[in-house]
Amino acid sequence: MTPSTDLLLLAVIGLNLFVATSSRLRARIRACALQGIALAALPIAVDGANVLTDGPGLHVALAVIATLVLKAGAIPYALTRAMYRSGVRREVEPFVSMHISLLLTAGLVGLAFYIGGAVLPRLPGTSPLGIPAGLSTLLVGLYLAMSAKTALSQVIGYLILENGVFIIGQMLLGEFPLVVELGVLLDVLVAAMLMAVLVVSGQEVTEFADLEDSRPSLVDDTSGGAR
Amino acid sequence: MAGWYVLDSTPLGSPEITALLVGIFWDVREVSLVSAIFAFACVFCLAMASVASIILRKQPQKALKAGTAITLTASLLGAAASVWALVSKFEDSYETLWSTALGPFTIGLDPLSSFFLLCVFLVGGLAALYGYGYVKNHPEILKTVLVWFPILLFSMALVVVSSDAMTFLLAWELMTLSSFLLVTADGERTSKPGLVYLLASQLGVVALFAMFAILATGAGSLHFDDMRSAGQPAIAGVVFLLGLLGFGTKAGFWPVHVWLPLAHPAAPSQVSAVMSGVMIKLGIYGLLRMLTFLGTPNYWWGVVLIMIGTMSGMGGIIQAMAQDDLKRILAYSSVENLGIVALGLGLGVLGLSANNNIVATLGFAGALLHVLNHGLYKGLLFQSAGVILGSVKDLNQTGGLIRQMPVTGYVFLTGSAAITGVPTLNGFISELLIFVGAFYGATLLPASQSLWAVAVVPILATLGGLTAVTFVKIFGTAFLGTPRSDYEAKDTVGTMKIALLIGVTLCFIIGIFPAPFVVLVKLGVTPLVSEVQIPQRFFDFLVRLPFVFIGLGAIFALLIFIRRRLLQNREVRAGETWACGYESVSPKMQYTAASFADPALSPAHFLLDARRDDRPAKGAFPKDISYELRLGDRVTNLLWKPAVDFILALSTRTEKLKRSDVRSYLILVLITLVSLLLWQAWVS
Repeated sequence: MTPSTDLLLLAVIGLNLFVATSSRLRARIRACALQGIALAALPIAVDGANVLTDGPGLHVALAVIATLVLKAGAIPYALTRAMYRSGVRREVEPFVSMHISLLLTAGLVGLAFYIGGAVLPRLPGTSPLGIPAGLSTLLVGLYLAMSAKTALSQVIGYLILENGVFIIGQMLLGEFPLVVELGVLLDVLVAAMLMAVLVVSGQEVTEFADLEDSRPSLVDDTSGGAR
Repeated sequence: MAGWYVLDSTPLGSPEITALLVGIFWDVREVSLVSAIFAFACVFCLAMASVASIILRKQPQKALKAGTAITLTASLLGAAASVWALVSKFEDSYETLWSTALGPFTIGLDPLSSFFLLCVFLVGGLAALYGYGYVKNHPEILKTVLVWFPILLFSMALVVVSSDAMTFLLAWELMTLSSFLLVTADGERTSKPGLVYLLASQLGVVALFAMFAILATGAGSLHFDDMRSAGQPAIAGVVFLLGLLGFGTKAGFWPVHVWLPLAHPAAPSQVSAVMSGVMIKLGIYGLLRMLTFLGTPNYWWGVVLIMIGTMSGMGGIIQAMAQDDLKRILAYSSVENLGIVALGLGLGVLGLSANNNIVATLGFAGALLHVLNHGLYKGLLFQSAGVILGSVKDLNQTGGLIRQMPVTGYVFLTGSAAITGVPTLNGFISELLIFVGAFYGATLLPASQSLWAVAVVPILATLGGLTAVTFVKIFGTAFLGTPRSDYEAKDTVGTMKIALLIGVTLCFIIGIFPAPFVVLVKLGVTPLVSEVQIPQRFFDFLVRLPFVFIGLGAIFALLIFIRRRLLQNREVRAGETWACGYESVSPKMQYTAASFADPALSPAHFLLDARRDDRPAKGAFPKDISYELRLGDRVTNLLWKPAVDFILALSTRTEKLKRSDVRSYLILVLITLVSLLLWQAWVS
């Protein structure tokens, strides 16, 4: 463990708060990409740079590269494209005002620190920040997905949630099994692509992108004929 | 040492019987393992019948032949192998080399499972033979039956041979599922009964999961041997009640019998025969298996079992008497018979708790033999009911069928006599065992418990009487008198006839030569009772019983002969039944089923939710006479309907909750997650 681990984890938490308070989607996507970079660096920070060459070095290197490519590259790119194509740039009139959002997410982070210390076992030698950081990322991601008004911010919420899972896994298991991590990454990529495609496809982009309007179509089968 | 092993190890007391049993075997000790492996092979062969049907699905007739042939061969050999394993007291288990998360699958045999395996093979084989003819006449259910009937037999056999909780529950669920599919084979009409059955079974299985979870926690393993050697669990009473609920639902104990009268009329006849003949008995098997885990039972368990037996018996037979759907009557009568089995179990548990081996042996042995007997004669009754229903659906429209379908008629008569407990038939023997057990219990048990044993006697006697009324009602209505409507009745032919006749023969063999079968069930209860013991005097009586029957038969034959001689030179006139000397008789003059049962039934109307609508005869020239009786089921109305309504109301509320968007789900997820985490933090 090195001090850089703690720095990375703090950066992740900071990015969480930033995403929760910024209304511009572009900034949110960028924050997401930054978080991806931080996550990719995490295995190296935890075990030192020699982790890439010693023992199961190939495993870790592969995971790092995959994380970097997907979380900091492919997914943000797809989301940015979707954002431009759909024309929705901002999270307008959010359900929860930005101030209250900030308070709530800060509360969730505090909660994560309270719970994380008490509940989940920590591997000896790992950072005390690890579990709380992962948990707070998970909770904030869930909160973002929940409070999102546009489909794009919901995707971002899910991404952050997955980042939380990644961190917790890393901290609980020391080394996330490569296959599992790759599987999760692939799932997230597919989901993000799918949602990005859905957000921009068709003429009724705004109708779908605005989650509030999608509600009746999910439950009312009678409205099908009228359209 | 030629085969005297059995004699050495079990104090049979009667060398003749032992010689009869083991004379055909050489040294049973050596062949026991072979027979057990053979029995396992036959179990899996049953599943092969289904596979064969799937392979041959393009030619249904060929598939039917192949499937039936495989099932029959497996049943025949399997029955022989399980008798062999039982006689040699085989007791061992084997596990698969590979393993799941919960451990390997384990199968094994001990005398108790060998006995039930025999029941499965015997009743299942007969039903398959009957089913061959039945399915040929009902092509609409052909495919379902071809695939799922062997699976049902297979899963039942697997339940019996499984030696760990996981295998057991898997087989149990497979059994429920395959029987559900068979019940619903006949289209739309059968879907509601099928669903009720499925729901009831799932309700029961929840209790079983809880029960096995408690047992496995105590034993530290899912294997039955570990559960047995772990001794009595701390909350044995709770385990017993859970098992009673779970297994009792399958066994159709009152008041959890609600699925039985619905599912049986819906299912094809041979499926009803198997379900009623064996499947519900596996509930009894489960109860017995559970008792082996629980050490010395508390005496109140026996009391509970006797009370449940009484309720099932009375509730079942009174409902049976009231119904007018043939298969529903038989289903309710199964509830009654399982009540008799429960009485036997109750006696056995009382005996165990008082450490009295005689009462325990007689109670359990009576219950086991009744399981086999009921399987045989209820098979006969359901299968001959299938023949009747092939010609005419409504019991109130029948009459005089014995002239048109004599074979079915006499088979049904035999079944009715057996279920009523007429001597020379098998039902008598098992009820006799329970009776004798009750009498021994009355004298040998401590005072407080002997009272319960005494109570069994009048209950059993009453049940016998009410059963007689019920079956006289059916037989009299359907087979005697004159037809009440126009229909073409065709008697049973082919394999159906063969199956019925084999069943009748078996009923008579057990009824006339009971001693070997009593020895079999005595061996079967060895896992339950530390030292099985049947009183010598009683066993001697059973050994001599055939001679008694032969003597009685000789007297009967002599009487018939004398009657013939006396009537030889006189004119004999035969008239319509019920004619009472009148010249012009119409079918309307006959007793109907409902009016026949009314005198016996009217004291029990409060149980039945009965609404009578009488217009009795008045004056010298009565007009407009009618008698109408509408029946409900108090249990259904008072107990189950409110419960179901409550659950429905609850699910309607949940439905409303469902009609919201993704966001509300996420909020729920977040709240749940946070509260779970907080709770965990608070706990630790």
